[in-house]
Amino acid sequence: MSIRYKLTAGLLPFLVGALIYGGIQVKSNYSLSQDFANINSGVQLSVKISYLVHELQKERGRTSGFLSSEGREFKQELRDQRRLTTERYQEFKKHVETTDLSRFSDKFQSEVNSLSEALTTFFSVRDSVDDFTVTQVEAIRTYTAVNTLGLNIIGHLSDETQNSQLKQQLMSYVSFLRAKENAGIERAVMSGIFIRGIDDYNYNWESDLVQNQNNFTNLFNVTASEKNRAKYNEVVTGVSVEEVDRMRDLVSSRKLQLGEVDPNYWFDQITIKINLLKKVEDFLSADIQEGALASVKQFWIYLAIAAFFALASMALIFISIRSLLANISKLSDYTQTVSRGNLDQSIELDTNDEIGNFAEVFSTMVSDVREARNEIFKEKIEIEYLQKQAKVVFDNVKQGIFLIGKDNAISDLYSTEMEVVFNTKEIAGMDFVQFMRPLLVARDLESVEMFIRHLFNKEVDVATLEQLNPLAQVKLFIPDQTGMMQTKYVKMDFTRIQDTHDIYNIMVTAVDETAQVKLQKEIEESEERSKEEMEQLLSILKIEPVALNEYLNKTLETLEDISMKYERGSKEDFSTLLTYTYNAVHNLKGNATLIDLQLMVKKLHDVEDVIVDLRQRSNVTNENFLEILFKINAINLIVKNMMELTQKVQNVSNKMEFETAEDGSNDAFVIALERGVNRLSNEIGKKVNFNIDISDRIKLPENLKAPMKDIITQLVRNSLVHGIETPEERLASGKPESSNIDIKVVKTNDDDFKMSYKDDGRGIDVDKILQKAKDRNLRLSSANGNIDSRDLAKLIFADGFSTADKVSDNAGRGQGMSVIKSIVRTYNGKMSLSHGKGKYFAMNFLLPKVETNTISKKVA
Amino acid sequence: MKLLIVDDSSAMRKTIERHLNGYDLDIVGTANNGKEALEMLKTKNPDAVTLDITMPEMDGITCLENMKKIKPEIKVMIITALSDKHTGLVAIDKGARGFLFKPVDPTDLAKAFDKLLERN
Repeated sequence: MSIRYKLTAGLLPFLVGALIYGGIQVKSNYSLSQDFANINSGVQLSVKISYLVHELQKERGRTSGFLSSEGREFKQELRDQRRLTTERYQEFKKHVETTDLSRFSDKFQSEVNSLSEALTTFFSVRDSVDDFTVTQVEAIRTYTAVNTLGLNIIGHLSDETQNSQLKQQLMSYVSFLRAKENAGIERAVMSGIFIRGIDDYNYNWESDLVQNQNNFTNLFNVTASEKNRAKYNEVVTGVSVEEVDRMRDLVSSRKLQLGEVDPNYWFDQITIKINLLKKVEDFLSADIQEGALASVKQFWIYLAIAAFFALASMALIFISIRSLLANISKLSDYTQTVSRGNLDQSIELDTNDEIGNFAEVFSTMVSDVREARNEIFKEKIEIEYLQKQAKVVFDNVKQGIFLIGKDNAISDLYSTEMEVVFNTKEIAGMDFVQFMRPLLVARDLESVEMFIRHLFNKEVDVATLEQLNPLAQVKLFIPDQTGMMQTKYVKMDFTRIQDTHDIYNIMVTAVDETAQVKLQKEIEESEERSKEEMEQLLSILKIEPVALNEYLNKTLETLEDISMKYERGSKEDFSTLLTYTYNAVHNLKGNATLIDLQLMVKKLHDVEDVIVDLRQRSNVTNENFLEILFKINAINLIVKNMMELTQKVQNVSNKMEFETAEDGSNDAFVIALERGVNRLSNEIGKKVNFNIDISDRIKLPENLKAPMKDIITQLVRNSLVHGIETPEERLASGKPESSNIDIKVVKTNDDDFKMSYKDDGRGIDVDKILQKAKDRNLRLSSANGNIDSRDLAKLIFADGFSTADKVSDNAGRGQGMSVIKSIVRTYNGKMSLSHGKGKYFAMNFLLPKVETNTISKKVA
Repeated sequence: MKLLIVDDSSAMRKTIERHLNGYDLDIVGTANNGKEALEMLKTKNPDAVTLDITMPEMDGITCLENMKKIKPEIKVMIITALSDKHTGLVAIDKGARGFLFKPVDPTDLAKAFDKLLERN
């Protein structure tokens, strides 16, 4: 139900009530006005009656005088008066006939009727007066009786109204009329007294009349309005009034002499007074009529005003409701606009009522909401911007970033790089440990589980845990799109997201460090290569160019020989080939040691390892040799590289470097040997005085330098490893701490060269050699416990025989002595061995002078 | 605060003692294996323990488990040369609250002890 109907429904009873109330008011006013109308009619009637009474009073006075003078006086005056009275009577009669008496009370009606009836017979009294058949007193009483009737009607008129003011007005009016009536009677009575003289009856009568007049006048004064009283005092005054009082005093004092007062004079004077009273009476009757008329008029005015106010208030209500409804309608439209989300409008109602206030407050509220909405909108844009930024960061950051919740689940939001690092899109919401499961071994997975669990454990200090991060750098095998396993090195860092109360999340960053790790390895390898090259270069720089050149040339030659042998295929059996290779390599290694070419020592030792390994196998195939060849080729490359380097170095500082390397000088040869021995003795930890004696006169042929150096190298190594005791042992056995190795080279008369070698060590450990021989089931010609020098030499120079318990770069393979044997054989030389137990080990060589090309052939 | 030092190396025990000098700690004893440590736990009633992992007789993890059974509120700091993180995490799991790798840096040890002791 709309407010319009609600208001109408609400107002309807009010309007009906107002109408009923108004109706009652109008009716009440109307009855009041009717009352006034009745009274007005009554007043009219009273005026007619009082006019009639007034004339009857005058006629009574004339009649009284006429009768008192026994017809002598007032004959004419009485005739005139009778005519006037009759006129008034006719008027009264006519008025009664035309007046609707039914509007008055029954009592009032009957009184009026009584008067009318009385009057119809009353006028017969005139005949009795003319005949003198009636006394003066009787006549007066007859007139008075009629007048009393009339005055009673007027007196009772006040009973016909409810209006108290009117009632009072009527009462004062009738009091006044009664006073006047008594004055009229007094005129008649006093006329008789002045004509016939005073008697007791008339005297008393006169007293009563004066008394009555005073009483009624007093009553009038009490009840009359101020205005009417003033009128009375103003009008009823003057000589006649005073004369009447004087003449009354004469009567009341009984001092009156007959003839003293002219009855006509009295009559004239009192008539003047009565006329004055009549004047007041007219004023009073006019006043009553005016009042009655005014009441009626007032009613209509009231009605008009009431109607006006009723109409005006209805119009006002109508306008108010219309405006109210219009405002409500505006407000309703506005609220609907607002509810549709349009907050840009405001509303202003041109009214100060509650609706206006509501509209204002609502409008303010809408404006506030609009501002708040704009704020929210701004914030929303900012948040969206931040989210976008965060997304951009998460899409572009080269780091896997995600959160682990308390339920161990990976956050829905994670950086795109995660998918790249782990090569999967199944990340969001996964249990972190389950996520890592396929990538880790069980033990590491267990570590991860414990680690995560304690990251959420406030009791455990984060610094303590950080040391134990099992994923700080972890090698993961992650399948790629094709299912191929990719090795990745991933670094994962864990940070607690916490405040003072709780740990809410673990933030994890994952970085693929594969490239870095690989780079690191490459750098390490590259460093290794650089080191190797630097070593090569340093070798070149610190080794005597002649010795180095000699070594490199010889090595290259030897390696090429080996390669050729292998290429030629299986003409020789594998075992022979292996032995040959081994001897060659071992010799090269010995020479490398001698000139301190550590790089070559190491590489050659590696080849030896492979050969030793192969020799212990039963089924050696061609393929096995490939490994040896491969390694030999690698060495070959190094040698070539070094030769190039040597060449370069030589080109740079030709003179300086090679000044000492004069062809044919023994110095370089000796220095190289001394250095080699020193190095060996330092490595092995034994002190040795190396003493090589080559006469300056002897010029060692170049082609013998190499074999001599090879032999010396092998012998020195042998002495240092086996023969020479440790410094402590030497001191214990009474020898000097430093051992001695003496070498002497001399030239024979046949231009051959003799070389002697001797150390002051413990000599040959015959028992050990025998034991080893026994271990290897070598057959010996000599009896148990004894061995001759021939057998001893045979054992010592046997291939692969060694008394050393451990294999090292320097000894233990049992090849050294065998190499010496093969060199001596190659050069067609001779050698002999001698030793003193606990004292020395010595060897003598004879190397014949040879042509270079012969040797080459022999080596080949 | 009473401290027990458990390590099979006497040198290490001395080092820890020296480093902790000046702390408000009463070193009530040193043990060189887990068994001895448990005995001392009963007799000396320490509040805190530094515990090696690799030891003869009884290893650190077993010792830690037993210690926690006997005295759950005991504060245990693992000091080990063992670089295996898994064992470290197992120790944390069994209730150790400090962890240091050997060789021990005095500053690290001081920090670790500060943290271990401030927790009630």
